[in-house]
Amino acid sequence: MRYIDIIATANHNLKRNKLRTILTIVAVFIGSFTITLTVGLNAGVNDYISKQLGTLGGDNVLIVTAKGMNSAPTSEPKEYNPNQSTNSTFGLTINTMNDVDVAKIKSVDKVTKVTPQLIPTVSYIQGSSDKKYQLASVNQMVDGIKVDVVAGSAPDNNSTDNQIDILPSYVSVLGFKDNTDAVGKTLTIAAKTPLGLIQTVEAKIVGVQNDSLLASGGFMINDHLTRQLYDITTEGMPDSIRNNYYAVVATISSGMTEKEITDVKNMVKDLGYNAMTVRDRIGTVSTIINAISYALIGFGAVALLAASFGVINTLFMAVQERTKEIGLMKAVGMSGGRVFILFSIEAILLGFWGSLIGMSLAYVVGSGLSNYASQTFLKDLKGFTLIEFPITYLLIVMGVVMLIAYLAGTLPARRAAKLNPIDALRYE
Amino acid sequence: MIEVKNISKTYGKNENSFTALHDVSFKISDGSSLAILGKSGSGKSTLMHILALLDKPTKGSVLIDDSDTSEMTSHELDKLRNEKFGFVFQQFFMNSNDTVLDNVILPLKVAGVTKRERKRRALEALKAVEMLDKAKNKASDLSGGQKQRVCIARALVNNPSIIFADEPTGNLDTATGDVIENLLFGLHKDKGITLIIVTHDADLAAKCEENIYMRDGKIVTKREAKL
Repeated sequence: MRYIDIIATANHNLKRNKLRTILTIVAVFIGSFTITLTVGLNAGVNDYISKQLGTLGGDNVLIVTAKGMNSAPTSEPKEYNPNQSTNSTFGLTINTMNDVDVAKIKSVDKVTKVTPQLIPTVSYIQGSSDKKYQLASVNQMVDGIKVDVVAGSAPDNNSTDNQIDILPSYVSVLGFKDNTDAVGKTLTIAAKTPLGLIQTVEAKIVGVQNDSLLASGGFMINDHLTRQLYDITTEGMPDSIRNNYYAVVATISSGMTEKEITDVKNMVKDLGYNAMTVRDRIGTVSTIINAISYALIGFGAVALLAASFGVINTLFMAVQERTKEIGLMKAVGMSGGRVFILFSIEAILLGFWGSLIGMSLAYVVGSGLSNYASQTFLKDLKGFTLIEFPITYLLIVMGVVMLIAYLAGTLPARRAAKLNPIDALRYE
Repeated sequence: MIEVKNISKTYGKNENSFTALHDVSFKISDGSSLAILGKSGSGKSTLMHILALLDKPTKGSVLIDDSDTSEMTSHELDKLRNEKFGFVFQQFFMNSNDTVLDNVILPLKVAGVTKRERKRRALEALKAVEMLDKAKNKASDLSGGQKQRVCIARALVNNPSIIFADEPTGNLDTATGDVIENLLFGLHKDKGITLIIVTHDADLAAKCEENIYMRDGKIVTKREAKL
């Protein structure tokens, strides 16, 4: 039998019992739909992360942290080290770094600058209008990181002035006409001393930045401004509390190869610290996203597994019902191999239709969700398409579903192929 | 021409073995008609299955046009059945939900004939059995006699040299049965197709040129009709 006739016959056979075929396809559809949506979500989020953070730059900076204390109860007890600086938050003690650590890291070959990362808290900001506004946070600028500015530029860490970038959503409320108008204007920033006194500093707005995952609603400030605000919030405190850093940024001399940068990273690590490049950082976020995605895909796969039993069942019933028909086909010369192919194609077609319908619906629902998200909770994150459907991923999902369907059909197809025409045509 | 040489068919092993055919030999010349008679369990169905190459004998050989079928691959046997044999069964074995035309086309589809060509030949075969007007009907819409006619068309569609019929009138009333018998023998005479019929019906057997009567796996009587 010609292949085109086999496919046509298989299709015709599926149409014979429409209800049974439709129900089997629905089972496959459910699994395909779930998996496609999850794959789309994974693609969208990862794409945004790599778009936003991958072009972030910062190839020659290292984010250095102290090796944390193991708080897992089953680990061995650790000896107390009086020289290790620590900080407690919410009852959890974390190892931090101090100026001794800063000097040590600075001494590593090719490290040009070590900047402690400080997180000062801001009480309010005030622009040209009289209103004072809360600010979620301020983010210290890291050298070399590319920033998504819609006006002006990123804050310059080499400047001895206070520089700040604001978010577009603040432009009008702070009394500016538009994004470009805001650049060059002065912003008053207030911070509280430990005793509760408000002190203000002034900063020049050098740019307007789009919100991003990194920024999370905060304004970006340069090192100089960071230091000033930090000094206010820690005024009068002893050195052991002031010079206590969660992380430091080590700038490496420019023009080094990836291997050379890795070498510097390892030297810092050898001194007893954790060191990550920006890329490593992205990697951890991606790893988490992927881990969640795989779990969700796992659920979809379970649905698909259940569906494959539906395929097996449907085909076994078909073989059973069509025993005489198969016997006749074999009597007039159809080989067992062709019979196997015929039933296998019926199985594959079930997978094909199930995945096609599943993916199409997932596309519609996913695009709808993406649009809704862009207009609501993702409104300020430009360029974030929540659910994306790259063609290669779709084809892979379809291929896998069709493969699973084929495998499910193997046993019934084999049984059909092995039927003895004499037994099949026995008069009952 | 079919020649059967010392064929035996045994099922099972040792103590539990059952011999369906004992050392059977005979020849069927081209264009003749043969009836195989016998009670149930006489081995007549087994003999026909082996003649039709649906089964292999445990011992002995079947020669089709002087070629020894025991040396053929299953692919070659499939091809041989597809091109040279036609089958008519007591229970018809049609796909009830398919059209009459689709049922007749089956052997040609298996053979790999093109769509247009097989439609043409199927319509020709339906014409020969006077069922052309029912080509587009569903097979389930037909009476017993009509169904058997369609089966004969299906058996004819590949221009076979031999038609095997297993109790072709078993499910039909006498009148319809006669019509079918006449149709079969008519084709046999007009196209020179060898007819091999397994039957209980003595009247039908009498219409065949040769008769073989089987009992317990052996030929007990061979009769040649005087025509």
